Amino acid sequence: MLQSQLCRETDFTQPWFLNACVKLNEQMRFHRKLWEWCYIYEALRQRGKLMPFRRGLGFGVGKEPLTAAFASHGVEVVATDLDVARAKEQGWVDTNQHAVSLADLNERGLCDPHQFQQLVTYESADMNNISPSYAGQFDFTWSSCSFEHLGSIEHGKRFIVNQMECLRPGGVAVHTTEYNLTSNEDTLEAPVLVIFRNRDIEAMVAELRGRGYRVTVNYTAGTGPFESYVDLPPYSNPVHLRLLLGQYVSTSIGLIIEKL
Amino acid sequence: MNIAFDMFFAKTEAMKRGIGRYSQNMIEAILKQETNNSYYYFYPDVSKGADYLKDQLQQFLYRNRIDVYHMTSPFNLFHLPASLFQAYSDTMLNKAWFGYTRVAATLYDVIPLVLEHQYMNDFVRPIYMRVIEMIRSCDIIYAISETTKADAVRLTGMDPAKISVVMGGYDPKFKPLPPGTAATAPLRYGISKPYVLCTGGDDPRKNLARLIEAFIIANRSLAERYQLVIVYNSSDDEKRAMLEQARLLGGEGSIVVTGYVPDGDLVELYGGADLFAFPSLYEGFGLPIVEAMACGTPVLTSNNSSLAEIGEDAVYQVDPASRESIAQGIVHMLSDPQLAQGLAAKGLQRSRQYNWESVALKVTEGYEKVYRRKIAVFAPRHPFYPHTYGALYHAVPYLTNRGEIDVFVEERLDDRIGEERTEEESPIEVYLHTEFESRKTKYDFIVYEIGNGERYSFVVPYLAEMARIPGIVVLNGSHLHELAWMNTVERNDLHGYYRVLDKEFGPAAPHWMDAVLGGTAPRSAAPLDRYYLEHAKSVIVYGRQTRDRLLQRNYRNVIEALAPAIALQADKSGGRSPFRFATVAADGSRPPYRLILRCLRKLIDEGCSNVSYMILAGSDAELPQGVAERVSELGLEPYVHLKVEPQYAQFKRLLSRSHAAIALSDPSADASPDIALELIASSIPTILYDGDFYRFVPDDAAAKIQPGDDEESVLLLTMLKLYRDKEEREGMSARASACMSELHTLPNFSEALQEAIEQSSSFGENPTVLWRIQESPGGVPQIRNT
Repeated sequence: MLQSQLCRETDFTQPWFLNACVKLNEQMRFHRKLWEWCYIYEALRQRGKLMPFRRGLGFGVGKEPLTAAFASHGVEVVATDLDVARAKEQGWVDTNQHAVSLADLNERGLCDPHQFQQLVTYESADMNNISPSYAGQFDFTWSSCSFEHLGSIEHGKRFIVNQMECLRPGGVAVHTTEYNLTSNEDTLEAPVLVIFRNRDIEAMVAELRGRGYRVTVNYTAGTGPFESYVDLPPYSNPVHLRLLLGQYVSTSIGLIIEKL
Repeated sequence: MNIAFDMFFAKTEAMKRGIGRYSQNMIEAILKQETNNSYYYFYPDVSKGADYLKDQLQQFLYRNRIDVYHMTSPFNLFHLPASLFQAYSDTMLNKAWFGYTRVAATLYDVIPLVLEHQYMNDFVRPIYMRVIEMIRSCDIIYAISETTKADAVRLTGMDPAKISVVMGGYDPKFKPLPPGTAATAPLRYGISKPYVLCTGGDDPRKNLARLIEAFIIANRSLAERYQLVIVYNSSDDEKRAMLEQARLLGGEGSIVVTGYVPDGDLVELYGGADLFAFPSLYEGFGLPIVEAMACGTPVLTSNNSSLAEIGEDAVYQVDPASRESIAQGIVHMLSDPQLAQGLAAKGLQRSRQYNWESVALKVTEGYEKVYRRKIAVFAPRHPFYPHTYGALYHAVPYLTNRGEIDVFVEERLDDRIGEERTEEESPIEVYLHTEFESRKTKYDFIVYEIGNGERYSFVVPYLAEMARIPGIVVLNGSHLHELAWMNTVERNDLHGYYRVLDKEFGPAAPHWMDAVLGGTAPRSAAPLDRYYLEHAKSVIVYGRQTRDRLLQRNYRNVIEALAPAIALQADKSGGRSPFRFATVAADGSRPPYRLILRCLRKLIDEGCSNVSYMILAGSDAELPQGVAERVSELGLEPYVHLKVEPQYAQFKRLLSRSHAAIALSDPSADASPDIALELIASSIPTILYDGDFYRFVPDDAAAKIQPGDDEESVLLLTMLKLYRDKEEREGMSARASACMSELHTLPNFSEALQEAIEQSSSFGENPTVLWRIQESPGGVPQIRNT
């Protein structure tokens, strides 16, 4: 069963990865964004969360295909993102990464439209201020590359801890973010983007465990040929497992946190 | 298979009741099975009327190519509040809306018909009966107990053959308390004595009033040592009424009404009870007694309905209509610990057979049983006669029990020229092949027939569909070089020819291209299949050697079948006419006319002058050059008759009046055996080259000769024998007919097709995403889709 880990080249040849590509209607490519979606999909599938009578809460869903894929399994989904004004302010609308309507979340037709309409609701949400109405309502939560944009490393940590409140007992949270492969000392911390160092993740993990949640992280970084290639701005290379952000090489890390 | 669940229940009060729990558990157990099925969820919107619902349903079925639709709660309207029930009572699903989609329904009970006086009125009855009609029209009905099935058959006339009893299951959290564990829940609910537990409901069918009465009587003879604990989500009024009833009967303080109890506490309450009493008047599936048995609690229940069926000898059965019977049972159970312990142990054992895995397995088996695959069949025309279809077309009706069949043809033919017509509706739709493109998304399988003949050429462009839709190829002949040749080289498409060679020979393709085009290698030396067959899930062949050759070349699912043969149905009335030999010149058969004509000449020279030879040719193109000259050279003009493109009735008449046939197809020509088999099936004594295709034809059912140096003398002797020996001819004719009607039949062939479809299904999906990685020197790795 998948546990918390870094994006690894070897995952791309695993049957679960291929299966997820098919379910998400995504062409196979060595891209960490694809890895994040497949990883979240598989982590939830393995834990029996992708079936009817389960409720999922997505943060910063943008136009990612996960919402529709989950709904196609009969899951009731509350998909959230920044309100349009703030999304526009931060540039997400101009880069076409922000969903402006429910239909945007199913633009690939992964879910029957009527089924989608019945199961998915779209709400604006501030990840720094999660609505108390979500508390204890969901079997799973997820986000893909979102909580590094909350303003600071501390904001990201607080989000990860706070969002656990949304889960029912037995629920699971799966979130992906940026991981600093260059340094455990210095990192990028700007209002629009932070890169989490190993020690930031460890601090998060310690707090989560302290609150009784289960999380196990494997920090092994692969050394495959594609993992030796670092994509540079404007990040248009087809191989994009690692990238240079500022002076730091970054990759994705997936966190799976279980509420017992 | 694409399966849809009707999720109406999930949006109504039913979700919190037995039907909701049953449906949820069933669906979850089905999803946990390892199958290749895909699942979809339909939420009917009944608020906008029947027309909207129909449109919504049909769009859903079409978009998702639903094979089986499961109505998990057919009486869903009955779970709506009264006002909505009235408003939407005309809006319910209709079987006619489903088209080819198979429909399944779960039937929990027919209680309103069993206890009619209690549940029926003039408003409810017609609505209830409309739902019953809908269920009755379903392709499969899942009854949750034998009782439900029996009552449905008895009271509604449902077809018992359609009803599959799947039973129900219990949540595994219902289990005996660990040894030494003291249940704390009883204290929390104010229980102060050993107790008899009952889970009830406000429905009079639950028989609570009689149980209270019986318990108070029993408790008196048990020295008031027990309490009766009634668990359900009762209202305050209901609770007051029950306590008041007990007080009036002198049982004050002996009854505890808990109200709603969460499952965790319920497990403890079961575990702490001395007895579980459930004397309901009727249950479709008595889940409470299963849960009690699973908790190791002795059970007293009714001797009727599913309660007796589920409990059998693992429970104490009473007459629920008799207060005395219930009271006696309670006394008996509580005063005989050995009896109670024995039943508890039996009950625990018996409860284990009620699990959701078993339900899910039975339900999915039911889906398989009714599932009808959508199959497209590319059926070429008859090998000889251009105005009718070949054997594949005639075999597919045998598949209609398991599939919806659409046949694609080169051109629409009048298949029954000269035959008496019947007005029977065919379950098969016939389309021009050009219509395939717009229809192809609906098919689960495609069946192709290809071989070395022009009649197969229209099929070739569609073989590529096998990369996306599982395909089965019926391979006529032993390999396809001639087909490749006529579809490429003869159409000036050398590049296309190279592609076919490249697929077969890879780097050696240029060598073979030069050799074949240069005439240094015959086409028969270079078998070509891979270009046409590489994506086939199954290949059906008619010859053992062909099968072995394909298997050696790593084709994974090659099925050997006996070629189907259709007998010509025509009257034999040629008694006085000269003795006639006949040859049918069909697609690529290339009979050795010179040899046959020489033998005919010798036959006549030996005094057999009352003889003729009829050559039936589908077209001028089928006749090799020089036949007419040879006839003239040998002085055979009076004896040889040529008939090109005869009408079908004429073709049949001419053949059926022939005394013997000569079907010596060039064994190296990779022609199919269908014409020869058709002759044999028509009881015409036939001379043929012994070969792989005919190994199931007994030696005395046809005259088999070997090609070789002495074939002329052997052919002459055979012709002489058939000419002279009427008894031999008749014997051969009878044996041929018997053999063909037993082996080379359309039903046998359709079984092979069915096997191919089944096997193809079990192979699962081809890898959908394929790629190769190339690292350019010093550059960026590249990913290339293949």
